[in-house]
Amino acid sequence: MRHLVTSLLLALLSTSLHAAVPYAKLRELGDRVTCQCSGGCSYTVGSCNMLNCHFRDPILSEIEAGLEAGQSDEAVLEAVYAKYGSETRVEPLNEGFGRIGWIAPFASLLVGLAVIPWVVRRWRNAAVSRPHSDSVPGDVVDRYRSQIEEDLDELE
Amino acid sequence: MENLGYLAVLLAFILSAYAVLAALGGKLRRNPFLELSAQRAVLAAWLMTTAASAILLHAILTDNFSFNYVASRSNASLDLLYKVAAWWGGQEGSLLFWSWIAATYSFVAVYTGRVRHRNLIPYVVMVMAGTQAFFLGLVAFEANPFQVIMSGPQITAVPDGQGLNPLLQHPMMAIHPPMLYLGYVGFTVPFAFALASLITRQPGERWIHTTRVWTMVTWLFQSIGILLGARWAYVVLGWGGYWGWDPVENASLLPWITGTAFLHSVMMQEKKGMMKVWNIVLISATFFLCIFGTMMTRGGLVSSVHAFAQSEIGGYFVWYLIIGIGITAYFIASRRQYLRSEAELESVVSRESSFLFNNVILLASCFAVLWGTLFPVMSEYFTGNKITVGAPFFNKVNVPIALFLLFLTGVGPLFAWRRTSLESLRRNFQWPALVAVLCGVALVAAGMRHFYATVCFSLCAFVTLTVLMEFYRGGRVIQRKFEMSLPSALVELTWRNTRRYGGYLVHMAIVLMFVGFAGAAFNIVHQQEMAVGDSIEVGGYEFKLQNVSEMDSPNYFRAVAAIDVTKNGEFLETMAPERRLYHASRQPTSRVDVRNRLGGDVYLVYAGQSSDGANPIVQVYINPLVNWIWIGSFLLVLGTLVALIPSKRAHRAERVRPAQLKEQPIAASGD
Repeated sequence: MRHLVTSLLLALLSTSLHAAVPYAKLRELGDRVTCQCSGGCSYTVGSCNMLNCHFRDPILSEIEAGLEAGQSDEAVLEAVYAKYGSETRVEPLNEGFGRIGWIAPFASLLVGLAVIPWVVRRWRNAAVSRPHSDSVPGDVVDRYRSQIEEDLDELE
Repeated sequence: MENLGYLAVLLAFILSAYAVLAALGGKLRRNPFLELSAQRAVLAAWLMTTAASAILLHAILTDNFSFNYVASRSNASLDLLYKVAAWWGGQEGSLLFWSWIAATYSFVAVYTGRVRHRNLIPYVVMVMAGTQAFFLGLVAFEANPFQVIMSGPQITAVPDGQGLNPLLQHPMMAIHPPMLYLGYVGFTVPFAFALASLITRQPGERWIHTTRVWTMVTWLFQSIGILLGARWAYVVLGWGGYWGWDPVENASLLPWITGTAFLHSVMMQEKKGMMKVWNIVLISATFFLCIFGTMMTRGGLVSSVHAFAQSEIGGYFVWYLIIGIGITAYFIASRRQYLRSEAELESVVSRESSFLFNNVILLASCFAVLWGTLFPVMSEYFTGNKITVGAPFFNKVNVPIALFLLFLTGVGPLFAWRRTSLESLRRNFQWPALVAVLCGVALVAAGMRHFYATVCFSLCAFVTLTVLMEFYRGGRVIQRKFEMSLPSALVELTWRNTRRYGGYLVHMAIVLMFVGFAGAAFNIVHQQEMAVGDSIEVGGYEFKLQNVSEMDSPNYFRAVAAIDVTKNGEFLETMAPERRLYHASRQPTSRVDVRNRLGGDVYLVYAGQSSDGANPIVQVYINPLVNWIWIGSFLLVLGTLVALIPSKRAHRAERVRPAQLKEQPIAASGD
């Protein structure tokens, strides 16, 4: 009995089939839509492989229907974003706050690279300086301390 | 038992807090007995945490379903391995597990360093016991795993538990979290030593050696944890990939990146006395990113498939971060003089500069990952509109940065310290550059049109040749000098400077992984409903469904599709992807079957059933080169282990140094 119930349950959790449009194409467009199924799914509709994903299958069906109707990829996706909300986009739009999203990582890299010549120049111009502790040169203190440490090690 | 377990947690918390106060009091009052008492408290806290962990583990293994945690994370028919994994499978248990690892690290760090670093240890105790107390406080007051199920005034037990999340019931999941936790928690040790050295204005570079070794060990654990997680995602999640840029995955990557930057830049401090502030900032950032990552996983800051149930503990992490960063920033600012650079940089074209570039690129990469992870939260905060950021964004931003980093991996070792002459540049670069260009041209001529993949393969060839040249040149010198075979000379070479050549092995591992990453550009995917006897052809392979069998076991029901795989008419094997339904949790999941080969994987998923339930839907992935990632993983572990072995030269020097020092009169510098 349990066997039968389980088989039926698995059948109910079935994935609908998208045969008219090549799966690779569905996957390509599906990978441009964020899945919003429960549990904080952060995968795309194309890659979400949750067996009972209630979010993925309707969207894939809509993408398939749009493509069969002769719509362009972008038109199909825009229809999905319009229907399911902007949070289904996989990347920020290049406008408004979204533009900051694109710029910031590369800006940080450029700032970092620009800083290096400045750092090099600063180091090059700086006199060699050591931290001073009273009037005894630092390396002498270091050597004394090291000697003390070694002696104490031997004692223990 | 539950009372004993909770008592042990409370005692461990009190002992950890006492260790912090005793170490502080010992330092302030110059009282060595208090300092010793703090060290003993660390040992006692470890014993108490171990006792609490043992009690929880005993409850899980003996199916004590009166424990709320056991009832919600385990069940009677669960395999022994997964029962053990249930310890860290939920919020409360994993926090206890975290605390136990922290206590173990504290115990080991304090007792191995109490003689060698006697001036630092009280501060190390403060930092480590403080962190430990924070986590034990969470276990004791917010996420108690020893809560029991009550029915009125009576403790009661449910007949069976709800079971462990099916996705976690995989051998990889029994190893992945402990490794990741060993990495996350382990970064507390180098941070504690760094902060202690900063507070005490520790002279010399001895503490740097200790910090570096601890960082390398924890970096290794973190690497293994991340790679096991990637492998688990690949063989369990069933979407054909290994890295989805999920917030929790990103959280593990962030401290790994800054830790990698630290392992490189710390060489500048050891060899040249430079970048001291930077190194302290890096190791501190690594530690705080570990805490931040933990907060992301548990505090509900971002949503993720990997995150634990949302809870209220996020606020505590925020306070911990604010206070911790504040204290660290204060000590960095107040010790600026001590952290002043001891040498000057002579040229942009030098090994020193290459470390600077390396650090900038790594930090930019870290920022890009952090930025993308937090961008939805920020966009919602600033605009009221949540802008989601998925894998395509991360790939677009990080791929060029990663390729730049790969280029630097090859370039860095070719530069000399201080200054690199034009002649030296020409001599070192000509062959690797030529091979890289030839590789790129050959790939384009062979029909490859994927820009990033072509650049990546070319750079891989470049870096490979630079690494091989380094080994060959060094090996030849030793071969001539000691008249030994080249393989023996290479072993001798590596043993003479394990850190350098172990590092090169790690660079080679990164190259192999990049080959695997670039291979993803050529993945093939196909999905089809198959009736018994149906065949499909994908990527040159033919797949024929032979039968579908159904089996039941105490833990789960499974349906298995037996699929014959042939190529060019030659039978290769019968693959068997599965679909499972776990009885306890009623959760369905799929088990992929993977045929691993160097040239590429054949990866089959039992993705579902047709709408009438009659036939299975099978997904076929052909993933070329993906196995180079796993091969690279093994080499990365090997290379890091080699780098951790003391060099022959250093080993000898260690043995003779005290005698030499005693013979020399200690004189002022310049003598």
